[in-house]
Amino acid sequence: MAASAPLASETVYVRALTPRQIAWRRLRRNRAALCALGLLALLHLLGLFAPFLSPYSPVQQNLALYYHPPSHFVWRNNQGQHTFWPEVPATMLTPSHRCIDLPGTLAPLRLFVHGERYRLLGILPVSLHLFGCKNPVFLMGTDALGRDLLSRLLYGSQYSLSVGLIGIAITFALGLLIGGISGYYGGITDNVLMRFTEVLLAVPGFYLLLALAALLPPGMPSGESYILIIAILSLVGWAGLARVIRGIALTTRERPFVEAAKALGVSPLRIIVRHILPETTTYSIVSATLAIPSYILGEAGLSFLGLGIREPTPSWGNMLSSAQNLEALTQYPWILMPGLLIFVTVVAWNVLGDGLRDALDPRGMR
Amino acid sequence: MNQPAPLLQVRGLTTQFATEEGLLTAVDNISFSIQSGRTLGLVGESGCGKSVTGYSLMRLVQPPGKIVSGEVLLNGTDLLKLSDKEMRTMRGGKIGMVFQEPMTSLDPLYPVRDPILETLSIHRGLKGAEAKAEAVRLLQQAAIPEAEKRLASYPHQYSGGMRQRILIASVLAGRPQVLIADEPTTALDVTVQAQILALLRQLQQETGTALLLITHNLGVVAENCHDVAVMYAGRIVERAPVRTLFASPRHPYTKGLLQAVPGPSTPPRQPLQAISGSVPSLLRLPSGCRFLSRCPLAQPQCAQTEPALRSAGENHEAACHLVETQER
Repeated sequence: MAASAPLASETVYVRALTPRQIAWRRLRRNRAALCALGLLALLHLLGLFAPFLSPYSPVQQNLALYYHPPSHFVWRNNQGQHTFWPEVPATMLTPSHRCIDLPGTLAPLRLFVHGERYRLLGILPVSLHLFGCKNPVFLMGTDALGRDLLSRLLYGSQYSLSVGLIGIAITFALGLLIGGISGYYGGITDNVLMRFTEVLLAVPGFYLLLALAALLPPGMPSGESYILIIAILSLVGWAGLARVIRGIALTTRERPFVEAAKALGVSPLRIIVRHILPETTTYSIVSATLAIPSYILGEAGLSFLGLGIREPTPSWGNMLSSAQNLEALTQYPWILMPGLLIFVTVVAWNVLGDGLRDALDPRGMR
Repeated sequence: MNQPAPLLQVRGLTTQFATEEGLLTAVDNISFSIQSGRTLGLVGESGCGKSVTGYSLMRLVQPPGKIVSGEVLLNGTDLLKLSDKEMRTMRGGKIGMVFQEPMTSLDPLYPVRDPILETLSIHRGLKGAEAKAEAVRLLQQAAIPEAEKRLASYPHQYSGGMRQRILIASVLAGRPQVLIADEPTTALDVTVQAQILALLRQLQQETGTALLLITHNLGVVAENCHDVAVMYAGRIVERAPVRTLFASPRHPYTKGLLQAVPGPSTPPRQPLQAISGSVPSLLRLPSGCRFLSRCPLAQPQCAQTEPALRSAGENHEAACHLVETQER
């Protein structure tokens, strides 16, 4: 047994768990946060592959089949034989808006069919779709113009979800930099920057959003208005963050290692980026995660009011705005789907944020 | 004596802090110089302005502190007149500083090679493998065993003494001509203290750095310095080569300091001679000599005018009215 014992002269180095590993272990133990993480990953993947997953173009109208309920499957073919693969009937709407199957029109649901051409991940030109059918198939029903709700939800998630991610990236770049500079330099710089952020903070956020969004010219292409919405949301959001970062920077700049770095001739920007901002990591990660929902809600809110992403381009917000009237709600409840997705996404981000906070909290070491 | 021009020359340096109770002059019109390859010890009790002097030389005094006047000539260049950007290339490149908190002067987030590589890239333009080899050499020079392996270790994996040696290595990476060591051994135990000081001495011999050793430990001064400046309440009150100072101190404060240190000839079981009273507040300095209230030799004239540094022998100056009249 002694044969494998290390010699005394050999120093044995033991790798300790890095803080990241510790945090990851703790996060893994938190089942709710893990579920939220998985769910968010799924939602973002769905958005990423929206063109492949959706059977139709999000703007393709089907005026005869407006407010079509979710398609149902039939487990037998036109000959009445039982099948193991779902068949979809062609349907029509009666004047009283009842959906009836047309007899003898059953067609099997097919996987990996060729349809409209698109660019996968924005690069690869393909025409392959996950599923399709000879008959119109609407897994989640259609909206007032007969557009496939599933396709619109998938495409809409590209806008609605990325607003949060890109928005938070811009906000944090701004907030960290301005807060870091303010806290590190102090004095007049600090005063000027902080008074400016206070002005921003003093204006009620949503009204500022509305005012800024109202400046957008009405005929703007949705790609541009999407970028502008992100810009507006970030512009409103960084102020609160900058203040907290400044506070952390103020205490960190007094730490001896900052002084030592200065004495070595390290430039201020480098000190801020390498020595001061990393001190804010825990706070930043948690607050970013918890702030993302507000961006998603912000986009949804603006789009809901018609000031954000505009029809016909889908976003969860503007899709939800068509669910405003009571008749639509009671008769065609499936059009509430975007609301449900917003809700689920926001809750998931919050649960994940909570989990991260617990996992990254150095006081929670066990 | 025909001496070469000093590498570092400080003239009339004054640093003030704007406090709520008024202007506090932490460093008051001090002058000294260091030759290359020499060590000047700056001694004095807590709060006498030793550290502020060090920070002033580096131009790292934080507001509300401000360098009000004076010159810091390094090779003839006045550091106080440089722009912030120019000063940054001096810091670490020409004039380096080792601080007294080895435990916290390394950023815990980065492996110890980082500050060394950073200095190498800023001041010597070394990158990549070349920089790494030099970092290993510096750590070996600083007596870190298995330097190559341990470059990637984090500060918490090192003891205080090792951290201080790493800090010294990171400062030396920029090859400064002047090194300010602000109580580099205060937080360390005696054996480690000896190692650090030996390291500094050895490095000085190899590179010819001028060293300003700030300390309150007279033993450290006696062993490591060529010259000594004694500070009291923001002023230099006595300046002499180290042997002269210990053999024949001329300022009553220096005498008091030396008497307060136990030595082989100190009689056993008797209280040491302490300097009575305490340092006057820098906000309310007495007129006349700053040491007046604590001076055993005070004369009426001491209360009237503040004594300037005057010659008290070869290379020896003391700020006391009684230098001439006192017995040697």
